[in-house]
Parts: sequence; structure tokens; C-alpha cells
Amino acid sequence: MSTIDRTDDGGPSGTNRTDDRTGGSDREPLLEVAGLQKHFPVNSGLLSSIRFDPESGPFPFRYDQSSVKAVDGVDFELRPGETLGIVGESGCGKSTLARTILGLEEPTAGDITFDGRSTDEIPEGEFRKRTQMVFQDPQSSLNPRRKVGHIIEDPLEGTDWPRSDSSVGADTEVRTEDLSEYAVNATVDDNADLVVDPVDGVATVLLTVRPVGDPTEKRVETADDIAVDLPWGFDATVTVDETERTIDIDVSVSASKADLRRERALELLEQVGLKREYYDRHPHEFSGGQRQRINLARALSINPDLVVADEPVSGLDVSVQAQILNLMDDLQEEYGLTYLLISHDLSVVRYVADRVAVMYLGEFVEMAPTEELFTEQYHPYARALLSAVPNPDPDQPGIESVIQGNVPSASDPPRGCRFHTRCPSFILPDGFSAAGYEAYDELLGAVREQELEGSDLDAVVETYLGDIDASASADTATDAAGDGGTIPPGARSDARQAVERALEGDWTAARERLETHESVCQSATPALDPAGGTTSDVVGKTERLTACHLEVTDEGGTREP
Amino acid sequence: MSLLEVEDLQTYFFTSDGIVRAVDGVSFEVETGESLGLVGESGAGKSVAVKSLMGLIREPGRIVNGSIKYDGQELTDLSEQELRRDIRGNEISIIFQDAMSALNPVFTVGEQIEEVIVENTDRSPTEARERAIELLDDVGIPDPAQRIDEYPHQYSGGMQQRAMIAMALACDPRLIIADEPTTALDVTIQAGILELFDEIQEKYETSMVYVTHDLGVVREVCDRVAVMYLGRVVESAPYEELYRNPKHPYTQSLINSVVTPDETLDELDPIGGTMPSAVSPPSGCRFRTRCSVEFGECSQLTPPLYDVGDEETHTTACLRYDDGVEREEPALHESTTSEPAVVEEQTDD
Repeated sequence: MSTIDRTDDGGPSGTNRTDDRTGGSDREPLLEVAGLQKHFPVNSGLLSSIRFDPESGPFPFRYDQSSVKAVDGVDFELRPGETLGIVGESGCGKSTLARTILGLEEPTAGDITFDGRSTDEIPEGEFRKRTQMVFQDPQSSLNPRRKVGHIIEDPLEGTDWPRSDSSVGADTEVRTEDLSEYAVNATVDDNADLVVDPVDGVATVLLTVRPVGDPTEKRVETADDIAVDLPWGFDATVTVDETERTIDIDVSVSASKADLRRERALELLEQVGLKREYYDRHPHEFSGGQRQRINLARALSINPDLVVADEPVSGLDVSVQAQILNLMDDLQEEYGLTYLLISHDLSVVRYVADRVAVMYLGEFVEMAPTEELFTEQYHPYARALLSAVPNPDPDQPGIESVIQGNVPSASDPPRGCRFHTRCPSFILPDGFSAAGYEAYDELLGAVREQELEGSDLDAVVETYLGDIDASASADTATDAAGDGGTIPPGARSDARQAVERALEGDWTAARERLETHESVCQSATPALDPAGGTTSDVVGKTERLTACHLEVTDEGGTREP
Repeated sequence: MSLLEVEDLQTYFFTSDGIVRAVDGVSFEVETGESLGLVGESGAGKSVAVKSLMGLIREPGRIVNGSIKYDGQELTDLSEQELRRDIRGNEISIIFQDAMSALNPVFTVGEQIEEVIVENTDRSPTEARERAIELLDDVGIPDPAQRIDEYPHQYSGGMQQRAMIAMALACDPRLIIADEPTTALDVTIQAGILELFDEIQEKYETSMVYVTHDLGVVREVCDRVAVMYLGRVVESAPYEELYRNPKHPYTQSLINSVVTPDETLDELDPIGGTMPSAVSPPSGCRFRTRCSVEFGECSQLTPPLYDVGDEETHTTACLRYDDGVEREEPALHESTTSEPAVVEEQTDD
């Protein structure tokens, strides 16, 4: 028995895409985000932006241009087949980041490069086809009036799948076994341009060629000798030309586009663990977990490269969460998907992500391979976030509520390190105790606002620093923390001089003087730098990034085990 | 005597699709000062069970059978009026998952808390306000004296839930029912609320029934846990005992399917399938349709709650609880952490 394998490799576009997605980590990134910002104006419209402000010159109004900096300078790369998890509290900007990447929001600044091209240059239709999103709420993201089969088919219809592509070539590549080269010469009729296999854009036409007659001269006698294996909905007509010794195969679509889409939807239902019978049901007949499966089926229907999942399991029961995460993992393997997974739950990210980025107030504060991040967190925020996740295992440590309060407003983020207002590892300047610095910082805040309490120098100093022990030297300062607090003498005299300047009306000089003793966490914005003795020779692979001053000042000395 | 004794509670909903047996023979007890976790998937009947305690079941639902004894008093005999006057708020109070919709948006937080106090106690409005500020302070609202006059929408999600807790505490109830109070919150906020529950229990010595689907949360706030499946309690034990020595296959799968930060996907073993409908639950053991150790008798016999070993506090409703068959699974999945527990289990038999 002989076999001729003939592969119609779907034309230039099909081939390239297939290669891209099977790639390993050494490939070009699928998605590159550089300096991405998304700001929303606090007030929309001209009238609502006008503020009454008696101090703004002769006309006592000003235009309020403040904005919510939801995403404020994010850089990362995502390689084909990789899963990047983005974690953070509500309001940290992770969902806005996802929406901006997918073009659902217009970025304020920054570049998004998808598969080597800027997203601005990619035709919208193509971009939509190659990226899909799965939303958190499986209930509201499915139209209750429509059958789930039709919901799954929507993206297919939107992209006009299956599409006839005239650029699909009909060149043949014939492999023969037990046959002499000239015994068979298979050609494929150009109708193959409609042949687009649902899964990978490649149709495989399998020919079985059996020798007849004289075994020394093997050749094909009739069309029945050839078995053609085609995806559902395709037909092949085979003709054998005895004199020319050629086989012509005419591959055509025997089903309507609607039939093909329906078949694809049925197939997808099965792939996501549902039954084909569910095609005609409506979303309300399904549980939350099943609805999320439908969402996944819809996202995968047009075989995207990148799937952005925004809290895909947050609304689900724990037992169902596990099922969906398993399913996402299986589908990633089968479809060669690249995931961007947004979640507030670190445990969810742990299961599926290769790398994790921790986001706080519009910025990444730590980025690391998943295992490394869960072993050791460099940024105090990442550590705090992890210690807040309840663990059912009594042998593991219980939760710790180390950070208080809520995420500060993104329209006026804190200076320096944005986490410093809630940071449990806030770096105190030399000689200051916690209480001492708090008082000092309050004075600095008042100078910035240009609103000092108290009329003369002594009164002001008394108001702000009255409780602070002035005599303590820098050596004993840290020990004396607790009652009243301490401030180093140098800072104290500077504070006094600053108040003097301020009372003279020179607020800038006052502020600058006070700022000389400011904590590094407030005065400087930490950059997202390679951290913690990790070799970063393989770029982007083992690299750990963290944006915290602690690393710089203490060479890991302050890191808790 | 226990503070709360629920026996064979059955709460059904009479719908056009049939009788939904949401709670179908549930028994549990809560001692004074104890915190009981009620755990299970959505649809297990946890919320219906606790709403039944408060007499909050509305048409077409009805408590059809069973007894709820609170401090010796039979609650199912009380009228709506008596429940409202004597029980709700001042004896038992409830905290819901969605604080935003539980709070009235057109009244300030203070007005709502003060109203509860004035209604249920003989305090004057001025005293009520003082008490409200004190309560807001207790639940960790910053600047309570100012924030008491704010409206719910001015509070963040975590603070709304804290305000709800303050309201629940307003009349010094002896039993607090918390129905998934932290499910909608960020983990960082949740951590704060869970700590708050601990403090409250210590300070006010209240008992608690805590409904959740998250075993990690149960571990933080509960002494004992009852696992519910399709309207029934299938296993009940002190938390550590339950986690280390689960006897019911459902409890075992629940523990194995929990997504935790210290395991990888390979160690995850989700329960297959979904919970059957409560309109026509499977005969015999209700978990048998998804159970890995199911055998013939499971479809005929309804397993009672057996005492497990010498532990009188550990009960389970599985016919095969002492077979040892089902124990291979957890041993596989917890080989690193629970080795000793598994060995112990086998010597028990």
C-alpha cells in the first residue's frame, strides 16, 4: 500500500501564522507594550471642567484638566505561547491596561506592537481576528436572547469565516512510497482556495494510492483507489487521467458557510467540555462555570493568537475555578494561545501564568517568573498581596493584613514610590523615628499646600514638631521611637529655617530646605530594575524586575526571608 | 445546651418547575462563642439555610419541616412580628455579601445605624449617635465622628462592609450570621475584614455562622465547619480535623480543587461535572453522581451522619467513610504537606 501525502499549505498568510504560534520563548514577542499610558479626564465636557477659583487672576475661573492616571507607564513583552498574569487590587488599572491593549480604549501615550507591527498600522479587522477577550462576568457578556450556538458563531460571522482566499496556491508536493516518481503526478484544482481548516488554517488532503496490475509498474487505475480525508463540509472529486498518468483532485466546499460555522460551533462546544446538544440552548440555562466555557468557546472560534482574560474565574465557585483554569491550560496547548491573564487573585495566576506582573496604581512594581515570585517577593506590595491570600492548609501561615486602607486616588498619585503611603517597609531617613518623620512630613505637606498653622515662628514649630524630642542624637533616635518620636538635630534646625522662609513668603525655598531630609520613598520614583542577584543574561527570560528603593539602599539586607 | 440547634431543617421552594428542595434535612449546632463555617458550592443551600434561621424565606419558599432552637426557644413557631421584635437585630443579625445594595443609598450611614439602635433598644437618638460612632470606630472606620454623616456611596467597598458589620453589631446580638461577607472584596481588604471578625468575636463574645465557598476564609475565622452539598450537610468537624482527615469524598474533592497560592496546576484535581438540580436530586447519597467511590448501595440508602472514629465532633454522611478506599486520592495530592495526617488516618481503621 502506498500513500501520497499532499499538503496544501494555505498560502502565505496561513503558513506564517501557523509558524508563529508554535514557537518557543526565543521567538520575537507577540506583543510588546512600551510606555503605555491611559489617562481619563476627571471631568467630561467643557462646562463641567470649569472650576471657580478666586485666585486665578482677574477672571476667577480655571479649567480643570486633572485626569485619572489609570495606566501610567507600563512596559512588557509577551512571547508566543506564554501566559503573563497581571495582579493587583481593584483600581490599580489592570483592566484598563487590558482594554487599552485590545484597542477598546485609545492610549494616551505609548506604543503597542503586535507581531512586529504597531497596532495602529494593523487593519482593525485583522487585529480583531487575532485577539480576543474573555470577560469576568459570564452572565452579562452573553446575550440572553440568543442561542449559545449563535453566540459562539458571532466572531466567525464577523470575520466572514470561512473566507475564500484567492491567494491560496494549488502547488502540489507529492510524496510517493513504493511508486516511481512519474507513476503519479497529483495536481489540485484551484477550488482549494476555499479550503481553510477550522483549526490551523491548513487543509490536509490525504491520498491513498494503491498499485494495480503489474507490481513492477505501480500506478493508479481509478478514482476509487484514492481515499481523500477532508475536514467536515468539504468534498473532493478525484479524476485519474490514464494516458497522462496524472491525478486531479478538485477540493470544494459542499456545505454552506452557515453549515460550516455551525459545525465549528458544535466542535468548540465539545472542546470546552460542553455537549453538542447545548447549541440550541440559551445562556440562562447554564451555570456560571458553563457560561464561562461558552465565553471561551466564543473567544477561540476564530482561532486568535492572543486571548486577554479579565478575571475569568473571579465570579465562580472554587471547585469550578479549578475546572476553568484546567480548561484554559488545555486550550492553550491545543491552540498555541498566548494569554494575558488579569486577576486580583494571586492563586489563580499561580496556576496558569509563566510570568507575573504586580500592578499598583497604574504601574508595574514587580515582574518575575511565577515560581520565583511565589518563592520570594522583592517588592513590599507583592509580599503584602500574597500574605493576604487565605490558605486553607493549616500548615501554611495564615493571612496577615499588613497594608491598610485603600488604593490612593489615581488622579493624584502619591509622590515618589506610589506605594509609600501604605508601605510596611517605608524607609525612614537617618535619625528619624516613625512618629518623628510623620510630624516632619506633615510640616512638609503644609508647606507644599502653603497653609501653615500658627502665626509666628515659634508657634508654627511648636504646632508641628512640639511633641518631638529635640535632644535625642541620631544614634539613639531609632531606639527612642514610640513616645513622641525623634528628629535628628540637623533636620530640626533646617525645619526651623524653612518655617522662617515660609513665613517670609518664600515657599519654594522652604519646601526645598525641608525636602533635603525627605525619605527616598517620597523624593524619588523607583525604576523597574532588575533585582535580587538574578542573572539577566538571557534577556527577558529569567529577569526579575522590581521597583523599590529597598534593594538599592540595602543590597537585600532588609529583605525578610 | 447549644446557643443554636438546627434539626432536620427542610426549606422548599414551590415553583412552577417543581419543588426545589434547597435545604433538605440539615442539622447543626452552634455553641456560645463558637464560629461555625458553612461551606459548599453555589446551590448547596447554604444561604437558604441561614436565611431560614432568620425567618427571611419568602414566597414561594417555606420551611416545611424541622426545628430551629435558639437559646431554647423554637424560632419556627414565632410570627413575623415576634421575630422582628425579639430576634432579628438584637439576638441574631445578618451581614450580606453585597453591602452596597444592603445599605440604603438615600440615608447616611449614621442614620441607618442609629435607626437600628433606636428601634431595638431604649436609647435616645443622642445616645444612639454616640453608640454609632463608637461602633464605626470599633470596625475600623477612620474619623468615625465625621464619616458617620456620609452616604454609603462615599465609602469604599471595604468600608461599606465594615459599616454593615457595625450595623449588625448595633444591638449586641449573640449570634451573627455572615453570608459571604468578603466574597466581592479584594484580598487585601478581605484580610482586614477577616481580622475584624476575629476581634469582634473576642470583644463581643458573639457566636457566628459564616457562610462561604472559600476554605481559606473558613480557616481564618471558624472553629468548626459543616460542608453542605445539595441541601444536606455531608460532613462536619473542627476545621483542622476536617482538612487533615476528610472522610467524605465530596470534602476531599473540595479540598483538592481549591486554588491556593502554594500549589501548581498539576496538584489541582477539580470535581468533575456540576451539582444536579435540587428539583430532582439523586436518590440515596446525593453526591453519588459525581463520586469516585460510588457503589450499588449509594443509590438506595441515604447515608446518615456517622461519628468518625473516637472523635465525637467529626461526623460524615458517607456509607464508605471507613473503607479506606477514598483515602488514596488525598494521599496522592497532599504527599508533601499532610503525610503524617494520612498515616494517622490509616491507623485509625
